Amino acid sequence: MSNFRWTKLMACAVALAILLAAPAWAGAPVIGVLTPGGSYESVLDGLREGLAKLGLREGKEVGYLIEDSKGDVKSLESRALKLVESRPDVIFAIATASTLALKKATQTIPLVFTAIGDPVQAGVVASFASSQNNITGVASMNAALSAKRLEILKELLPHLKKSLAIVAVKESSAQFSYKYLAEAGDKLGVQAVRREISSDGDIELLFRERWSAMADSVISMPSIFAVNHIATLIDKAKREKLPLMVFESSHVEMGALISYAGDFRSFGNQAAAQVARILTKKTKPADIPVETPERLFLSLNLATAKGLGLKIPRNFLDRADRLID
Amino acid sequence: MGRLIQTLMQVISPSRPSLRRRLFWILIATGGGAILLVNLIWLPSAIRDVRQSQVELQSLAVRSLHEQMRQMIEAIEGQFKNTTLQFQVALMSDDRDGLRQIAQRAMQQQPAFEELGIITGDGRETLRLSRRLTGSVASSSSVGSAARLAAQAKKNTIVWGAVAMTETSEPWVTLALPMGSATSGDRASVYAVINLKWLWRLAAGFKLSNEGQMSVLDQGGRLIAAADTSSVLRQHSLADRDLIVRAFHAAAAESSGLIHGGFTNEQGTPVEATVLTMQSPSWLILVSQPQALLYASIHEKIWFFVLLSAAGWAVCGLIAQRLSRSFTIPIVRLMGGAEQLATGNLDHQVAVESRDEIGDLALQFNRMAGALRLSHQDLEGKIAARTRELSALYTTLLPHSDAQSIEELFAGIVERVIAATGADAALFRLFDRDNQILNCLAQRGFSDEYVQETRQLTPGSANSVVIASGAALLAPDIAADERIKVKRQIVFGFQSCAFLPLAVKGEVRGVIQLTSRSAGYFTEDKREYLMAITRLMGIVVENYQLFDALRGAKSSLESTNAKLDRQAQELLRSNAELEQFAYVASHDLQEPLRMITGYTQLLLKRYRGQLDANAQEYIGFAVDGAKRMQGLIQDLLAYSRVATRGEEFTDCAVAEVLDGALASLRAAIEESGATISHDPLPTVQADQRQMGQLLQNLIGNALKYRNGQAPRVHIGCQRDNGAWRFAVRDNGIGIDPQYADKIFVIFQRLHTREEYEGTGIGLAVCKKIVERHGGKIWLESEVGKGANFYFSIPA
Repeated sequence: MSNFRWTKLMACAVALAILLAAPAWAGAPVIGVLTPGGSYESVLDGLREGLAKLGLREGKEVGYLIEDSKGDVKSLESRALKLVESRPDVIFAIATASTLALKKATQTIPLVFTAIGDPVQAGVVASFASSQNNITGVASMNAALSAKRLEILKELLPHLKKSLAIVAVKESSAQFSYKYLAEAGDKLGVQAVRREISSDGDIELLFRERWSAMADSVISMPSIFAVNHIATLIDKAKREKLPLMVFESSHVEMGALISYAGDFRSFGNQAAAQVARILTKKTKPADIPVETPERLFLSLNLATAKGLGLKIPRNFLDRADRLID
Repeated sequence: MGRLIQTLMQVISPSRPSLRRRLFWILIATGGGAILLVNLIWLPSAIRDVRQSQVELQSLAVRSLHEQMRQMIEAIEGQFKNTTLQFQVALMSDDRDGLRQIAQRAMQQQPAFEELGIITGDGRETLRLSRRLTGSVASSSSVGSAARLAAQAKKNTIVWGAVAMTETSEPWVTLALPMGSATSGDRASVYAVINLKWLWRLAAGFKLSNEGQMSVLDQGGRLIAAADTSSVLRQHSLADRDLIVRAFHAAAAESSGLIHGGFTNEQGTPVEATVLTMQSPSWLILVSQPQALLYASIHEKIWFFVLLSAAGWAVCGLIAQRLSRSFTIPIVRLMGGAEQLATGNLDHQVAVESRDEIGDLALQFNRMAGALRLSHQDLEGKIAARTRELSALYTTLLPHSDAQSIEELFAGIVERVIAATGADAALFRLFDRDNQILNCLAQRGFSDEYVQETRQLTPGSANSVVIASGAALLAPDIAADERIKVKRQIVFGFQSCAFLPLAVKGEVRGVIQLTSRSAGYFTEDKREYLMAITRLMGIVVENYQLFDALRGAKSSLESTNAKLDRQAQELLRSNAELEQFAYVASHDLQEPLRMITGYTQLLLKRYRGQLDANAQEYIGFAVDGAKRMQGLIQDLLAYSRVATRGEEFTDCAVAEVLDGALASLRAAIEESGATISHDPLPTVQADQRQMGQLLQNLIGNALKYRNGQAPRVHIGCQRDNGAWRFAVRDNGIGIDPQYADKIFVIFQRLHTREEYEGTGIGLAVCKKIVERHGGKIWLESEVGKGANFYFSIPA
């Protein structure tokens, strides 16, 4: 057979293969994602991983359309609208601010959230049993856990009297968390020293202050703002020689002293099951209850503790889920 | 079964039975029946297997789930008991910090523990550690339920509480285990709040074919775990389902077996389920599959069965069609070959297309056809030869057309017979049964003496044997033949003879005797030929008799014809004379009558005042008489003209003729107030004018001979043996039956002129008209009861 004929044959075979494969891709559902970016990236990684395990592989059985605000909370609304206009089959929202922006933008496209401290108090869902709208997800319980975190910090530091609480005032998650913290502080005998931030300027101002004069520990209230500035926060705490309690174990790996929370990646994994139900079984979000983290991890950075001159009690070491050197 | 098949075949193929059709249906019935039988045997067992396999599958699944849950619960209970022991030790040494550490360690080791605590016998909390809540946050619900559970708990026995669900949390259940000795006044208990997320994960991850699902129900029948968690959170209960009730009863009876059944689940879907009860906690594990999907596989099997059967039937049909064709087409070809042979086409050969029995049959058939052809050719040759011989013989034996007697006829034949048979002598004799003698018709070669001697039929003689048996007697050797009693022929030098029965219309009427001087001449092989000659002789005799009779008949016929010719001539002359008479009567007789009538009337008119009453009366009588004479002559003329002036017969609608007659009688009908009715009347071949006259005369008589009431006349008609029988019925005075024939005689009257007008010729004319048409006319009547006149016209 001539070369020309072979070429034609191969071209036809390739075209045929594309045609056969195309429908599989062309008809694949699309998942829209609104993420604050930064260390929330591991939530998305967890989602991809969880969906792949359930047979929905990126680029084959499912596609992603990602809007990354890169920490710009103000841009969340416009990004939410843009995402909604592209009509994905389901939208995945990370963090409270993203979810609220999307809730405003659509009441019909199924929406799955994660990394929200208290979805009922935030006005995202009516109850854990049923959202009664187009939303469901995995709640991080970070708001209520703020109290628990203070208890654990007190346990670690029995002489703890004051704790600096950095609150991103524009984010409801931080507001709710502080409320739980303050209540717990009253009962535990620890004063919560509130410092509010809403912009980079506020951070600069705050970081100019001498924290060690204000408190003997720092607790980060869960917020996008905090996540996006966590490195700076950790650095400041170290320089102030103050123990820093955070709300995400990956931050402990970055240098914070201690965290007690669920895992961003495991949130994504957990939410993947809900997304899969919506995509494959066409289940309505209102019929999927909101879940809480399957596990809470106590993480401890021993190097940071050593740097702070802290002696960690044996029982703490025994009960810690993750020890970072 | 055989009758059923036969009936079916008759229904399907009502025409002449066909072997092919029979074979076809037998093969179809056999093959298709076998397929149907196999499938009917297989299908129920297949359905049973599907059901059984589903039940087994569900049973395996539920047992597996039970095992998984049991292991998880055992792990939880084990950890709980271990923690309680450790609490006890710590309490004994009053190590409060140790209690907390024990609790923290336990929660770390067992993710299901959401909260651990110790409460005293009076419900006070001495320890609480929560995974999410701070220790100081009161959770009265858990403490309250734990206290209640603890109160129920026995020593070393873990009590499981009810599953709790709130809107702000996932479901949880509380366990309690007492601590310390029963004798101690302060009976503390340890409690644990267990998160049931692991149970939900188990339900969510459960997979079974046909969309199988697992559910877990608490001891109240309420869903605590299901694939659809919203059903759980809506706290659906299946306690009212019969299957669940049975499961609870089984649990109460401490029966640990599986229970199978169907019910409608919380989503309203009919399902088939298997239930197993756990002992502690008393939960029900349910594995279910939608009935629609279960039955779908059964429906698939049924459809498979139907399609397989249909395919099987189709294949059977095809095979039956092919086989029946393959069997019957060669037979049909053989039939065709046989038909060809029957029509005389002996050259026809049947195609031999196989090497089996049918092929052999075809080969044999062809051989038979070949043999037949040869035999036929041989036979044809023989027949042709014999035909030629017989034809020649027959030609020579044809009777002379001018023979005046049978003796003269056979005298001419005997020589020809001798020549045809090669005999030396021949003697033809007819048997006189009455006198028992044989009369010689003709002979040649015998002496008169011999003929006379053998004239009398002797019992046992060859002649008598032949006459009695009707069979020929051939004697190749007269001397040696014991059947020949009288061997007189030998005296005359004859050595061999043949006595042949001369039969006419199957009856032996005589004997033909042939003899030869050569011994061994008349042998059996000549029998057929001689009998053929004998039959010819019989035909000759018969033909002669017929010819003779014909001759006689012809003569008689000629004589009759001559007589008839003379009579016809006489009739013609008579008719002509009659016609002339009629003419004379109409003109010559009437003319003087008219003169008499006219002049007498003139006399009366001219001399009325001058003649006396007697004279006038006498003149009146004369006028009347003349008029009456005129009437009679006219009637007679009319009577005579029925035959002479009749028109040709044409299609005559009797109804129209009747209308015409009634029109002529209109005045009489109106005057009498008569009612005339009739049946549907046919069309006949008749003289229309004469038919009208006939009806007019009969109806006119009915009107005339009325009895004081308005006449009712009905004309009926019906078919009667190839003729139309008409009836004219009236309600008039009737006629005495003794005069039934007389009334049809010309000029015969039963009443005087003073009683009823008329000359008495009407019915005679009717009779003549009817008889001219080939019919009959007659009367049925009684005096005072009207009259029924019938006449027939050939149809």
